[in-house]
Amino acid sequence: MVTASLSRRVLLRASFVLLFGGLLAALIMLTAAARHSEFFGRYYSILLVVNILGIVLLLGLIIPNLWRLIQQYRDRRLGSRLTLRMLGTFVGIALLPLVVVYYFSVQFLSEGIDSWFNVRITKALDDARLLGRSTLETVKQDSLQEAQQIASTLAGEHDLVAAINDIRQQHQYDELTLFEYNGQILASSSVDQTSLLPDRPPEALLNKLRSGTYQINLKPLADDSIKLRILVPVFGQSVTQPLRILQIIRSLPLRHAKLSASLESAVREYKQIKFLRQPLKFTFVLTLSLIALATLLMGIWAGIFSSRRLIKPLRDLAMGTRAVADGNYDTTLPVTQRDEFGILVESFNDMTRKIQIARDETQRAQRESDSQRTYLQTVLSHLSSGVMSVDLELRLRTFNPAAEEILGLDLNATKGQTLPQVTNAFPQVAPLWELINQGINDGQPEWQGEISLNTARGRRILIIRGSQLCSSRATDDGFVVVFDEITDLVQAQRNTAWGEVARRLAHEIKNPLTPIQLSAERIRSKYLHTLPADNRDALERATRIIVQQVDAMKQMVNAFSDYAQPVLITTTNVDLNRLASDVAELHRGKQQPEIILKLSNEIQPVVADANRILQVLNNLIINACDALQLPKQPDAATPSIEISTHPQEDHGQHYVELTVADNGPGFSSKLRSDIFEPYVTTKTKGTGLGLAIVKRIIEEHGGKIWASTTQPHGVTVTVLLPVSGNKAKIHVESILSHKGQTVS
Amino acid sequence: MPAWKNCNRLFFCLLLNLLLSAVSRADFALTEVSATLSATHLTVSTRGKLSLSDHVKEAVANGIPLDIVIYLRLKRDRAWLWDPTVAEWKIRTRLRFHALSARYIVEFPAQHTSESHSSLAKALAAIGNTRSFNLPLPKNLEFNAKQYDSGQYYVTAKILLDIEALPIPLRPLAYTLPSWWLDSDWSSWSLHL
Repeated sequence: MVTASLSRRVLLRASFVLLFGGLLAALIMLTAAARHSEFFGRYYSILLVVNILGIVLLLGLIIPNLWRLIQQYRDRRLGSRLTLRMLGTFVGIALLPLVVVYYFSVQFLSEGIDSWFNVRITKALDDARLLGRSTLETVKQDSLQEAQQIASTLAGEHDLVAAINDIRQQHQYDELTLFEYNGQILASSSVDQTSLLPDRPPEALLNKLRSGTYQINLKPLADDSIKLRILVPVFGQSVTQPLRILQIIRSLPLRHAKLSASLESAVREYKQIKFLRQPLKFTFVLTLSLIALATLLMGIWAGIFSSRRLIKPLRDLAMGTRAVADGNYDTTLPVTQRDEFGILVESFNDMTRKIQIARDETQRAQRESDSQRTYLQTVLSHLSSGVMSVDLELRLRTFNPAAEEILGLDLNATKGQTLPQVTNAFPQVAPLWELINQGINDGQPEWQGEISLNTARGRRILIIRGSQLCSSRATDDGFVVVFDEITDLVQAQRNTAWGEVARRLAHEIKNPLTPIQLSAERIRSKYLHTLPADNRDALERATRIIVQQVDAMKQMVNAFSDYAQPVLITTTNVDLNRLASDVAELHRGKQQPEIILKLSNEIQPVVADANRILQVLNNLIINACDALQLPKQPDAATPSIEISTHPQEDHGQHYVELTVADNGPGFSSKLRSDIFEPYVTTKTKGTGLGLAIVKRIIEEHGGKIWASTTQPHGVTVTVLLPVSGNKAKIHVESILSHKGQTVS
Repeated sequence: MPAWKNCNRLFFCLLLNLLLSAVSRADFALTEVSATLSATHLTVSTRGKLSLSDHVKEAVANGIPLDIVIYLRLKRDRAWLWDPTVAEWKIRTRLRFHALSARYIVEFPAQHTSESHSSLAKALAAIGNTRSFNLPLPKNLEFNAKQYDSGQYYVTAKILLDIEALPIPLRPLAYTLPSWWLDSDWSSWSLHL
């Protein structure tokens, strides 16, 4: 391909050289022809046509190239502006002297040719011509007299041939002929021995002679010499002798011949030149114009060629630079010249090669960095611990999904904000901010603490660990905070503690209760009839109270026992809407608050133990009914309980969300965080284990439960249960006892 | 005088000459061509009417020689294709004015002869009315000359002013001015044996 390009370039240059050389040669030949060169003069017209064709060819080369250049300039192609500028400079440099030279040459030619002619020369030549003619007249008269004398001598001659021959030789005539009157040749003598017949006079001359006029006729020849033809009559010695005609053809005397030839030649040439004055100017101006035009066009073409040749490396460099700027670092330019441009191109290629190597290194490092970052993000996203990083100005930089999950917040909107700003947006994370602030202010490289947050899904206990980040870049300095939710752990600990309490209650309290109850009944039956009537009532009341309180204590102990003991649950696909409808139907009545059902048809069956879920629903409705019987708010509406279901999705898991909301007086925020703790209740009666058991059942089903305040007042308990097909963990081995419970 | 004025003048003269040439247009014509074929020669006699435009007459009067050429072609008649040229000749005559004798010289370069005439009309008549020019046949045709049939062969002729023989400065003008375009059409003439 390089060879083909090279040969094409060589061919192109050879064509240009041939064209320019040919045109130059044609111009030189044309100039030589215009100067009356004999050889080139024969081909003047061809040379003229060749030159015009050469100029047309040049125009044919230049016009499309100029047009293309202008188009490129309009299209703002790289290098076109510089090429045009250089071309303009070249043409300007060539045009200015050319126009000056052309102008003065034309003027010089015109004035020079005009100066050849003046009136005196013209008049002198005219006078010379008149003088020549008068001289010729004299020669003619002399010749006529001489001819008449010869004619008189011939009148008496008998040997005409010999006489004529002698006379011709004596007078050095070219030809001497004697004719009869009717034109028949009688005798002739000629210097030209090759001619058989003498030069006959034209019949018109003979007729004129017959009419009595002597004829002296000039006969100019091709070599500018002049011959005289003289016709005179030859009278006889007697009237009886016939009339004859003598013709003498002779050249002018030598001196006269030379002078006349020279004069004729000079006059003819002068008249020719005078006549050709304007055509001569036209020819010279035409030749000069062709030379000027050809020179100008060759200059323009050379300008185009040179500009392109000069600009090409620059244009290539500009294009290469633009390509590099666009990110194409493997751009290499062909080195076509061995001059400074070639060095520049080689340097460019070297630079792009180094940039490419550096780019590859950077890309490789970037890929490694991306890979590590992706790996780190993957690790962070799969961490159950929440991780957050802040810069030195406490701006939130990064966080993982677990952080959002644990805090129950969407932190994407707060990315880049300072922690105080985040706290303003989410007041529930104020304890977190306070702990971080305290840790930073202490100046320790690491710190640790535990906080409790009230989130939308209930209270969460977090353990926080913070440490200072020091990196090579100042912008990467800051702090990293790692936190884990230990709510379940704390809850488990509490559950264990409560289980232990229940076990001890069952062991330590429940056992003595039966003897106490039996003893109280025995005292009443043994001593009731023996006591006086006024003491009998007191005994009967005291024993009855003992029995009743013992029963109550038994129930309480049984409840604790139920809470502490594990129980098996049997899961099936349960239609939560049907269960909710059934439970609601059980609680409908005149003395009961209104129950409103808003059940979604789009929910899927949940995997659950139907009896346990019934227990949960029953407890929640009873709790709501109890709450509605508490002292009402002044603006309280008609007591009602709203049960609703709808599908929910959380972290890719599908749930059914069940809410039980009442419009009762509600509870305080402090109570809200502990509502599912054992032995927490707002009622005067009851163990405070109802909601704790509910929560335990829900958690054993892999679900979640939390309580929130309903505006303007009331409580909403939300339950999330995984739908059938989820891979949510369900502890099949439930530890909850099967005993039916009501919240008391 | 400025050069541009000279150029303008030249251009004006050229334009004027062009117009005058169109008005004083002259032309050449061959009224009769007699061609007789012999074994080795073609003998030709012509009659022509030649007239010169004023511009050309002025040129002749100013000593410009004119070359007038009679083109002759021997052609063979063919039925379907074009007629091929068997042989062709040029009879060149030169006309010039002899200022000293005020006569017109007609030269016949081929014969190395010349004539002089007292008037231009006579000189032109002498050029047009050539008599018994012997034109040699090409050697490869000599053997078949006897077999020529007058119906099969014919002669075409044309007479014209040879611009290429004019002085060089005059040629561009002669090519551009119609007054210098002096020629006849090609005419066909029968061949005599």
